[in-house]
Amino acid sequence: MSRAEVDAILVQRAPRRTPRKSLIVVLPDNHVVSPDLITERLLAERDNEDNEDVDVILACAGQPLSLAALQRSVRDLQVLFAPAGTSNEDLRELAMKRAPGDIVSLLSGTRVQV
Amino acid sequence: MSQTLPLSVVVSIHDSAWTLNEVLAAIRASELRRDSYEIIVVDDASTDRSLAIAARYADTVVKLKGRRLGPAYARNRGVELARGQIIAFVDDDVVVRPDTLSRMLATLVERADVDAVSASHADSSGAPNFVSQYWNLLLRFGEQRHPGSGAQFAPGCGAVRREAFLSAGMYDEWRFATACLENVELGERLLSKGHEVLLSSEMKVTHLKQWDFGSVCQEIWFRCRLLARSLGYTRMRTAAPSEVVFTLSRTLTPAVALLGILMLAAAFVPSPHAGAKGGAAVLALLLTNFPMHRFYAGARGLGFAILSAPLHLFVQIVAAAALCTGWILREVLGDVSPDAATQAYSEVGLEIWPPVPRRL
Repeated sequence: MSRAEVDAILVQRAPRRTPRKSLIVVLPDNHVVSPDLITERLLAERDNEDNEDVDVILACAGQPLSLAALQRSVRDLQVLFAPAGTSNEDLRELAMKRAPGDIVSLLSGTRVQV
Repeated sequence: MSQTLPLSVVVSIHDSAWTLNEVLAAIRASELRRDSYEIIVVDDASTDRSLAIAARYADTVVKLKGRRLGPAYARNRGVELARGQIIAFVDDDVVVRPDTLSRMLATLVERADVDAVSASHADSSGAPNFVSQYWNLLLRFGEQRHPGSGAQFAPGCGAVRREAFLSAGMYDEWRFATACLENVELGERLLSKGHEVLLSSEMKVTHLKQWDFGSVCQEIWFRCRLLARSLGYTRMRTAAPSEVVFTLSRTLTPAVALLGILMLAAAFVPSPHAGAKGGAAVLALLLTNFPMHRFYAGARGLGFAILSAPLHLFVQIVAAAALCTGWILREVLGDVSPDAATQAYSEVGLEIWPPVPRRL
C-alpha cells in the first residue's frame, strides 16, 4: 500500500472538523424544481468557512420532467428513481437512507400546474 | 442560511420511533403557513427508525452519531442551524394542538415584555395507564398552582426569542447530559438576565410517554438529586415553584412537623401500638397533601385519588431520599460534570463534528 493510500485512509478515518452536508430534493409525480432554486440552496449550504461540497440527491417518482436541466446545473447529482406514484414522504425516507451528510436538508418540488 | 423565518421548531429525538410520527404530524398540522416555519429534527444517536420517520416531515435533519449526548446538546445543535427569530422546542413525545405554536408565536409577537413562553400539560396523558395519568396530573397540579411568570420553561413545548436564548448562553450541554431539568435551569438563567418567562395554563400539549412505577421513581430520583446537587434547592424553589420536585417536597416539611407533634402526643399514651404510630405518620402526610388529593379527586374521581395516595406517598419518600443524596453529593463531590474524556477534549479545544459539549 502506497503512502498516499495510507494517508487517504487516515484522512477518512480521522474525525471531521465540520459536518458533512447533504441536500435531498424530492419530486413526486407531476412535481418540478427549478435548477436555480437548488443552486440557491447549495450556495446557502456552503456558507461556512470550509466551503465544502454538498451531496445532492434527487429522489423522484417515475421520470421527472426537468432531469436533464438539473443534471446540467448540479455537479455530481445522484438520482434515485422510485416507481411512479411513490409519495413525497416515502421518497424522503428513501433518500435519507442514501444521504451521507451529518446535516441533511430536504426540499420538495412544486406541483406542475396543468 | 441567511434568509430568516418567523419560527423554527427544533425537535430533539432519541429512539423515538413509537411517538415521532404523531409528534411531527401534529407540528405539520399547526395553524401556521407552511412557509412561515421550519422543522429541524436533531437525531441524538438513535438506533431505531427515528431518522427515517424524521425525514418524512422535517426540513432539516441533523444526525449526531456515536454516543448519546442529551437533549440540551441536541437542541443547541438545532438552534445553530435555525433561521427563525423565534425558536420553539418540542419534545419527542409531545403532541401539540393545532393552535399551540401559532398562539406561542402570537404571544411573543404581541407582547414585547415576554421573551419565552411554554405550554402546560393537558388534563390527561396520551398514555392511558394509571401511573401515566398520575404523573401527568402531578405535573399539571404544580403548573396550575403556579402559572404565569417564573423560571419554568416547560420541557414539553416552549418557545423563546432567539436573541434571548443566545444571550442566556443556550442550553447547558455541559451539565445536562440526560433529559433532566435542563429547561428549568435555562428558564432560571433567562430570568436572571432580565428576560420574562411565561408558563401559560391555557396552551396545552399532550404527553405520549408511558410511565410505570419504576420510571416515575427513576425520574423523581434524578430530578431531585440533580436539583439538590447542581442547581440549589432554595434558589430554584423561588424561581420555578411549579417544578414537580417542589410539588413533592413542599408538603414534606409540614408533614414532618405534624408527625413530630403526633409522636410527642403519643408519648403520653401508655405503650402505643406500632400500627397507631404508622397510622399517625400516614395521616400527617395525607393531611398535608390534601390539596393535591382533592385536585386528583376533582380531575379523576375519588377512587383515583384514593388509589394514587400510596403511590404519592412512596414517590415523596423517593424525593426526600434523592434530595438528601444530592446534598451529600454536592458536599462531597461538588457539581456534576461530564466524563473525563469530554473534559480533556474541551480543555485542549478539539475541533470535531459533532462538537465537544461546551461549558457555559
